[in-house]
Order: sequence, then structure tokens, then C-alpha cells
Amino acid sequence: MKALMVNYYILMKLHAKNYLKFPMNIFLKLIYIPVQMFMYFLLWRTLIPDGASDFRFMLAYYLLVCLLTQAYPFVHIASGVMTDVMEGNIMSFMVRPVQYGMRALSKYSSWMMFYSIVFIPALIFVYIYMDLSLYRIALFIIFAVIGMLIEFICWYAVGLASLFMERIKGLVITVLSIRMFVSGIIIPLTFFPDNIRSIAYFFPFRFYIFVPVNLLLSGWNNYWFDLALAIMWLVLLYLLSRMLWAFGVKRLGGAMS
Amino acid sequence: MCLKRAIDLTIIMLKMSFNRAKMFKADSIMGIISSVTYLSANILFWVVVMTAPTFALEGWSFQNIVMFIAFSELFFGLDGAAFTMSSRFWRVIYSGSLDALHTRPMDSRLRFIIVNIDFVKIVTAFISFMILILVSGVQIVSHLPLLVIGFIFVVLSNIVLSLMRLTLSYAAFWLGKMDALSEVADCLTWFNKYPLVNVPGVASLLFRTILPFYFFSTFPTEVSAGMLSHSDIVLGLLFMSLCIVFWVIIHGMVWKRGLRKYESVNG
Repeated sequence: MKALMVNYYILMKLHAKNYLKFPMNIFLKLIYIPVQMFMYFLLWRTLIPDGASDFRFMLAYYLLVCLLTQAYPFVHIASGVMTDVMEGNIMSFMVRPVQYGMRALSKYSSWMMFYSIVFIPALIFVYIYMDLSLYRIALFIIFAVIGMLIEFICWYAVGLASLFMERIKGLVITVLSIRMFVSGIIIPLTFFPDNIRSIAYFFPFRFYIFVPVNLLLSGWNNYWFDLALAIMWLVLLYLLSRMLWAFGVKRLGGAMS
Repeated sequence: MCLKRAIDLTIIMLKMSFNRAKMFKADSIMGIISSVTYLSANILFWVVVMTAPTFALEGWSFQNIVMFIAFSELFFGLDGAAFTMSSRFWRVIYSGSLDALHTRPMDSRLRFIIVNIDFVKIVTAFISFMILILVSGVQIVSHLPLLVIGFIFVVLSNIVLSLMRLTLSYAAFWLGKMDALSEVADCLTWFNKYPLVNVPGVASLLFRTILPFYFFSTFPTEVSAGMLSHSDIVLGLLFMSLCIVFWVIIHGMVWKRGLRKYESVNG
């Protein structure tokens, strides 16, 4: 375990150094935000002419949603695994003292740490704008970190499907469209009719977007249940990815011999 | 002569595009499924918004919204299939392959756009447009001229957006790698996601003149749904024409100046 953590730390440091070389990349990712927020501002200003508090909620909600969805090119986690499988690079990881998933996870987590440079000011803005408590901010951070891990493992598992299928482009697009539907990106899930909401609750994607943002802005008290569910999803997805790897590598070995 | 070459090349690309779709059937089917999912999500958003008591889009019924989605899908379909690539033209400049394209018997920009057209996407955009128009319950026969006007506006605004994207990508003549600017150009399509109604004064004027965001889908919907008077339509046509002229002039000027600045090893 100690050796694993040392490897992970070294990899994270390497990725961090790489990101530090191109600091502007972090801010280039934010080019979309002002345009998106202006569009949301126009939309909700029109839709909520009188309800000032609802309007504030929606603006804060979409600001956080924009920042979370654009935090990382999640699809690249899956496509990176697919490229490694297609080009055979994955074979070299069999003889390395680092687990294959560790490389992608270290890259992902070091980027997310850098991204907090952008995220923290936005969080401070929302804190003041919505007059929130620090307790809710702390809860948001805990849930967002768990959600980030769930999001990572989801896309990693999608990538590992390339060990069984030749190309996963179609699968990636399908997962992406389902994610948009059920994660709370288009509208808070609480606005959905009951039957659609229960479908959305069946998927793990809401733990990255809807659950932390809604907890921060609405502050409902039933978060222990969501926390337990999120951890359960995390464990389930981890086991799934381990299973995909174990069975997939066997097939890969067969194909190479 | 130039037009004939463009048509010939388009036909060749059309055949290749459909052959590719046939060859990668699973991929094509997945693409259609995901388009349907995206569309469903969009419709669901509007169902939620239009049925919630706290929200109201003054002057717009759900039928109008479905028409808006139809035009919006058409706009996105045409944009994604043919015009998005305009914002990637900077790569041709940056990589130094522009001079090689200049020796070809066709305008380098036109050629770049034609060879990158996704014809299958155009067909699916038309199909979803037609289905959504039918679903909206509009009287197609009586509204046909208005629908055609709306359609023409969608195509024209796509062309203007393409000119804007090309103009932005010409910045590569001076600045080199233009990844960020192509991102800026891409995010302009965000103004097509929701109806641009009740836009505040200055922004409203900008969106109808220099930046044609109002004409992306909002104006075509308002025309087709009969929400505008004849004078409004004529005024819209006037603004659109001014916008086209403005961007054709700006685009031409920047292109000429950029070409003067351009240098490569001719490789």
C-alpha cells in the first residue's frame, strides 16, 4: 500500500510539473463560461420575471454546473484507455510496477487540484451571493470530491470496455448523452416529474453534478443517505473496473499471442 | 467553372460520406441514438419549464417551443455538419499548408469546408426538423411560405456564423496557434440553445445587427409561427442583409491582409 502511494505521489508530481509549464491552459478552458452564463442569465431572467430568489438559485446552480462539467475532458479518460488498447501500449503496463489505472487517476487528480484555483473564487462568489454557511461549503467539497472519483471510475470503466469491443466511440457518445439527461446538467433533477426523476436517480452521474450543487444551494438534510449511496456506487464501480480489467486483460493476452 | 468544381467535389464527398455510414453501421446507429437522447433531453427541459408554475415564457406556447427546437436542431445540424470546420481553418494557416492549397483549382477555404462536410448529419438534421415541425402541430400547408422563410434565415445565419469563424481563424496569420479563438467561435452557437426573447436593449440591437444570434432560431420560429407582422419580417430581412454585407467585407479585408502577412517554407 505504501509503495502504491509513493508511486501515485510521484506520478502526480510529474503531471503537476507538466501542467505548470502551460498555466494558461487552465484559463483557456474557461472561455466558454462567460458566454454560457450570459445565455443562462438571459434565459432565467425571462423565465422568472418576479421570483428573485429562484433566479439567484438558478444562476448559482448553472455557474457551478458549468464549472464542474468543464473541469476535465472526462471523455479523454475513456478514449485514452481505448488508444492504449488499440495501439498496444497497454501491454507495457503489465511489466511496470504501477497499476494501469493509477496513471490516469494521478493525471486527473493533479489537474483537479490545479483547477481548484479557478473553482475556489467561484465558490467564494456563490458563498456571498447566496449567503451560505461554511458548513454547507464543507459538505459540498466532500460530496464533490466523492463525485469526482465516481465520475473518473465511470469513464475509466467505459474505457476498459475497449478490451472487449474494438471501438468505444458509440458507447462513449451514448454514456455522454445519458449523463447529460440524468446528472442535472440541463436542469435541477428536482424539477423533473417523479417517474423521470426516479430513472435519473438510478444512475451514478448525479453524484458529481446535482447532489453536491443542490446540497450547497438548497441544503437539504437527507445527505447521509446520499453519502452512503455515493460510497456504495464508488465501491461498485471500482469492483466493476477491476473485473473488466481482469477479464479484459485475459482476452487481450489471447489476442496478442 | 469554379461552381462546377465545387459541385463535383460535393458529390464525391456525399458518396464517400454515405459509404462510410454504411461501412460503420453500428457507429452510425449509435450516433442516431445519441442524437435522439440529446433531443429528448432538450424537449424534457422545455416540458419541465413550460409546466412549472414558477416559470413563464411570455408570448410563447409549447407549440412555439417545439418549433424553436426544430429550427434550433436544424441550425445545430447544419452547423455541425458543414460550418463548424470554419473555426478550424487556422490549422491550415498555422501548419503552413495554405500555399499548397493555393495551387489547387479551387478556393482553399471553400475546399476545406466541402471536404469536411458530414452529409449524413445534414440528412438527420432535416429529418429531425421535419418530425419536430409535424409534432408542433403547425398547419404545414398554410404556413409553408413562412417555414421556407424561416429555413432560409437559418441557412443564412449559418453562413454568417461561418464567416465570423473564418475571420477569427485568420488571426492565425498574425498570432500562430489559435486553439483558444476556435473555442470562442464554437461557443457562439450557445446563443442558439434558448429563445432570445426579452433581451436587454444594447444586447438586443447587437444580436440583430453585427452578431446575428437572434436570426439563428428565434427569428425563424417567430416568422414561421406567425408571431411577426410583415413589416417585422422585412425589417429582419434588412438587418440580416446588412449583417451579411458587414461580415463579407470584414472577412475579405482580414483575409487579404492576412495573406500579405503569410509566409511558409512552401512545404
